Amino acid sequence: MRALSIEPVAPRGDEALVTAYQAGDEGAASELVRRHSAGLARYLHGLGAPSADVNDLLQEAFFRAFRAAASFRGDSSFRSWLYRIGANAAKDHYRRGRNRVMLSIENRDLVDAADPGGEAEATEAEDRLHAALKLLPPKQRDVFLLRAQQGLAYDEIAVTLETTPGAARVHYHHAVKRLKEAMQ
Amino acid sequence: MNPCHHLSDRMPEVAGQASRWTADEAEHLLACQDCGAEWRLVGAAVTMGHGAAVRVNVDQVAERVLARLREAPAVAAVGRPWVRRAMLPAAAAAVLVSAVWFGWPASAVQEEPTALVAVLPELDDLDETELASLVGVFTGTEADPLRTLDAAESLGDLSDSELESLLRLMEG
Repeated sequence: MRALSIEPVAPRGDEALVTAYQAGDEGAASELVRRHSAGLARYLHGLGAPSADVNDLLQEAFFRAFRAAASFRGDSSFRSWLYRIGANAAKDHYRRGRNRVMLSIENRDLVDAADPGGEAEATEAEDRLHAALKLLPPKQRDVFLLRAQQGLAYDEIAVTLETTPGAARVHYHHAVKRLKEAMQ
Repeated sequence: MNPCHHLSDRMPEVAGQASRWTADEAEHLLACQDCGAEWRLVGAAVTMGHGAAVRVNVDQVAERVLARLREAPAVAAVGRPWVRRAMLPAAAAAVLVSAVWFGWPASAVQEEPTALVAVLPELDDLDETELASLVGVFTGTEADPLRTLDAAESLGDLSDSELESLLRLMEG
């Protein structure tokens, strides 16, 4: 008689979860939210979103992503696709003018957001970096966050920001140079 | 690739704990002030926003997103094949008609690679050393494109298409 054994189930990949959601599996959508909320929240915060707005922006980003799931063809990773949607959701949110305090991403972006709860917990280096990021041109800031904070490869960054890997690499190089100078 | 560029490329994965420094890399990191400064920068980037992420109520986000989705069903994909099939000939015909009617835009016919450099206004701001360094790249006497770009600070503000043109020229 064979002993019963429980085989470990390999976690489903993001693309499989997107497909499952499209087939009606809401649990797959919840799993994607669980997987990517923390990373996306940190990215949005890096773009200048105050902590108080991050929950709303996350909801908007995931809502838009799932609503447009049919247009996700897997040319890029789900994560980079989601981050692009998240950045656009943040732009739209602040462009509407309800929270003009924060950012206008086309101009010198970012916010002087009053965010006492969140900022108090940040270390001095994080505070200085957060401030220095405001001085960067938008593309350099976006590339720096996706590379240094999120660990995305240049190929993925290129897809996310609709640029090329070579240009992304140059933007990163200049962002690092400027940030180092600003933080000295 | 020099050790500084190699370390720079590795920093995000080491900071994200997907990898560790080798003994040689760690030694260089300790000795090189520039790499040390970049490493502190990447370290700060990795931890930045942790507070905001911790405060996210993931279950609540998922619940609310699903509730909104139930009320607003998924929209059709714009990029569906039949849409593309229908749109492409129409778009091509529109371009052709405009070209015949208004004449072909002058900029489309003067695409000589060498002319691209001349239209980069940022090059006007470079000092003599930076320009000499850049010329070195085009003539093959400059071995390290990244070092050249490092010297040409204002190139960081080029648009993507300008950067790409420059990179294409540099890489032959």
